Amino acid sequence: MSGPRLADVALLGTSRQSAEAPLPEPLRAVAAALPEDLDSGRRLLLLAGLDAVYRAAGYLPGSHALEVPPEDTRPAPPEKAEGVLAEILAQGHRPLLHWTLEHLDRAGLRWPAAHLPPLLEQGRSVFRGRLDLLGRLLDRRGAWLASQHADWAWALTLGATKDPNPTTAWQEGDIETRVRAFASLRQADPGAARDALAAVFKQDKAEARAALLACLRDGIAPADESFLESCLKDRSQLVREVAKELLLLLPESAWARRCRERVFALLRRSAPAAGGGLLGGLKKILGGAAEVPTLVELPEEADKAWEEDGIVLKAPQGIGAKAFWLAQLVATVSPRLLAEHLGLEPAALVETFARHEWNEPLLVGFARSTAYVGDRELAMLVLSVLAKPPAKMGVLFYENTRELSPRLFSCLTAEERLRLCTQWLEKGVPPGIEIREGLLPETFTFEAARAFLERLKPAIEAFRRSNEFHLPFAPMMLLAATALPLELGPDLDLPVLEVENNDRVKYYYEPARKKFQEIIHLRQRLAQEIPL
Amino acid sequence: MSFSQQQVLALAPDAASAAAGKKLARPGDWKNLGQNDSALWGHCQGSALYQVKVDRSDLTGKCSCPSRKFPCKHVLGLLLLAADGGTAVPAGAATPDFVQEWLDKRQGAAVKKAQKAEAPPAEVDLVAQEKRAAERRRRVAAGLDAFELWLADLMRQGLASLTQEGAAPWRHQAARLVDAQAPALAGRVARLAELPGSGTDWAPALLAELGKIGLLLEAHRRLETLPEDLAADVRHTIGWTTSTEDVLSRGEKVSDRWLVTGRQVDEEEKLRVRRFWLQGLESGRSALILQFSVAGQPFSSGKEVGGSLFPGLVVDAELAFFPSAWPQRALFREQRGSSPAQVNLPGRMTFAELFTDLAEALARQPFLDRFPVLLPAVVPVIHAGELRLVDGEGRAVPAWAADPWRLVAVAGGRPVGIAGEWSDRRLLCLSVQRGQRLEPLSLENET
Repeated sequence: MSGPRLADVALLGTSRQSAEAPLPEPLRAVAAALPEDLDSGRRLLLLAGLDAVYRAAGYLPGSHALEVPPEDTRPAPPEKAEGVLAEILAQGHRPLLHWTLEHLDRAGLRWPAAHLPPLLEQGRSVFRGRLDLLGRLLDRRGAWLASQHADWAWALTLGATKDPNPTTAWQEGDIETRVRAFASLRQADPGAARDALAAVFKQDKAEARAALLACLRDGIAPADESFLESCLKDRSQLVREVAKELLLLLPESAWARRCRERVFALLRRSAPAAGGGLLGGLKKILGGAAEVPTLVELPEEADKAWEEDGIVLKAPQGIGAKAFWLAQLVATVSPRLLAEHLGLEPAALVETFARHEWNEPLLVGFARSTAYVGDRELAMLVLSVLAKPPAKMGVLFYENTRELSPRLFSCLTAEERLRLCTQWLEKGVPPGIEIREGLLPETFTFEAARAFLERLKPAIEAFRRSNEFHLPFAPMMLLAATALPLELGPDLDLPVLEVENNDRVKYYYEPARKKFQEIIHLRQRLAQEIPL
Repeated sequence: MSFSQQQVLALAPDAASAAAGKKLARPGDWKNLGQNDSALWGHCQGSALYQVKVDRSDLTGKCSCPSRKFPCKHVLGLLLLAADGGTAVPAGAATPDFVQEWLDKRQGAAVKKAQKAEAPPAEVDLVAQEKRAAERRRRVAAGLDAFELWLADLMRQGLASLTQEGAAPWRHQAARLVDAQAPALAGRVARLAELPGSGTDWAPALLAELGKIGLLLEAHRRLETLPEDLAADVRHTIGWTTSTEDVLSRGEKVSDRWLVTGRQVDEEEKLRVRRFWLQGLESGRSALILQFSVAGQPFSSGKEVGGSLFPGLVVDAELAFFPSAWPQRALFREQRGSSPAQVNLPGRMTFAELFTDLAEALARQPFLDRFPVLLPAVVPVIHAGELRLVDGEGRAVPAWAADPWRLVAVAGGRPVGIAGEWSDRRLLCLSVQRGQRLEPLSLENET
């Protein structure tokens, strides 16, 4: 008799069913020793006990066919390094994790097997921009492991396991894989890529459509215009914005011409006053400020045709409709063409916009078009305005500059970005700037690192003496912690300030300092265990 | 004694202490660091300057901080600094006075304890003792009879009704067994409350447990006729205790180099029990050391329960076993030294061999609820979301590990050595062999 059948008797009870049940052959002789007149309940209990011990002693394992996974291609790091790697993972500091991946990769090692599950648990977004590198470090064991866990399936198409066939990746991959496959398709054959995208465009979700559409930036040409125009009618604002951004790169497109006409009609230089020609000329020679352009009155109601060109008509709460429209309209014109139209050098244009009564939307629009066209020189100009914004800037200005500043920074070289950040240590981080990953270069040269530290330490001292609670350069410190060369040794030790009776230091500076030193310490330990 | 980071972390009383200890493993937080063959020491800057010292012979530490955790984060930090032959703690210094005094005190306490164990038992009032024992026997017998009546009635009425009744009947019976001075059986009955309705196979699982209890009650009724060792097992399973002194003086003694193969912590209301499995490298005997923590207090860590043990440690010691038909639980009678050693895990190559051993053990002690397992070459795999171990013959058993994916990742589809315990038809994995080192699988149960 099997266990479950005895259990069936027990479920119903011996008052409803006989306790007698066939037992395995060897147990029958044992059960025969039980007294005949034993109470039925006790009898079932003892039979169950005999059966349980008998089964425990005679446990028979099932069978399982094993598949042996392929060997890894790279050696594992030394076991001593595993503890540091686990701590780095536990820190949850993405730049440090990226630095670590690069370090292991340069050493030609893979990620240690025991720590593969927590690495995969981080999720794909943590490794954005490093997916190929991650693929190499996961190696074959990582891919084998990922293939067994639904939540880690994203790691199956990376590096060593990357699907060599971009068509398959484009048709079957997840969004990031598809974007990569599409980008390579676009590089190889721009027209075919665009047509392939157009064929499936409506089937994707908004975020995927926007990400794929953005890939058209590479190799953009007049042949793309018609598809981009159609995207201006997309149901998603995100997609429409990408379409506008790309059409801005096609100055001869119908959309760009329409937008230019619209904006040029609204913005023009005021006519010189009588005799102004001479006086204006003399003023110019003496370096006087350029004339402020006239803004033709905006209509009280928006033109429906604007909407067809991707202008959002309904302003968010707290922002005036006209300012909202103007910012968007200015953003539809290439910044250099606008400067040309107004007859001003870009620097003079930015300066005059800053002094204009509509300075907020004009600067926002100009900043956006600059970010979209990716003009390095103009980006530097715009950032200098963001660093010292005109008085009384409101929600429209700060919301947009926070969004746009990373894009404007991305137009600059790494050295230029670092130089700006180093200046901010001295002069204070501008309120319109958000310090995010990617702002600082991933590695500092010795010279740049010394310059950074030379300004960081006085900035800390200035904070100690000030009454400020906020430590605006703290995020910069943490980004620098993974970029500073370890060879600087003791120069990487930040000053320890007295915390007693100083809550500002205790709650704002000390946590940032400890985190900074912890990151440096972890890097030093890893570099010691795995020297390059 | 040299030791690894993993082994130090295995000493941590919980995951938070382990994390805090790691953060203190930076030379910048320490002053006056030093170590020699007998000890490690240093001063750690926390809310105050704490004096930290560690006895190298068993890695037991002491710190002047007010933490009630043992070892505290400062001791762990100091051990981590010196782990894996780290150079952060300068070697070769003379033992400072504050460390030497503490080492001397420990040594003195150990000598006194040994003398006490050797000393003849103090004179006791045998008549009064026997009277108390008889009264307890009567109360236990009465309590077990009443409980058996309830069980038999349950069998007559059927188990189906239990799904509606919740934990109340089990708690009530457990409380009555506590009153009858049968605490171990009471604990076992209280745990059964979780079973009714807990899965599709709850009824056979509950019936098996109740059946084994039925056999135990029957055995208790015939206690006088059972072999002495088996009678001791029955008494122990019901809740009789054997004094440490009795075990140390009269228990079976086995000298060996004992490899700590696994550690597991179980929690029951206010009691935490830490189990260490040991394997005699020469005798082939296995042993179970229990440490207890009541109401959040530190675990008992006296010499007789081994002090600071961790998987991978080899202790040269004489153990004294509790009386049993299949002796497992033991106490340290004498420790001659210990160090983490590189070993190849001994054990059985196939499940067929393992379950033959288990059958033999059950034949001698049918009430065994845990059986130590050493498997030098099995492959951990995940099948339908569940962990399994597969032996060289392609046989698989269900298994459990605190972090199954870590285990599978470490093995990578190839055979690894695993130490654990077999209980309730599954294998609990406690340690994995990496290289020639045994690594605990997690601290999870201690959080």
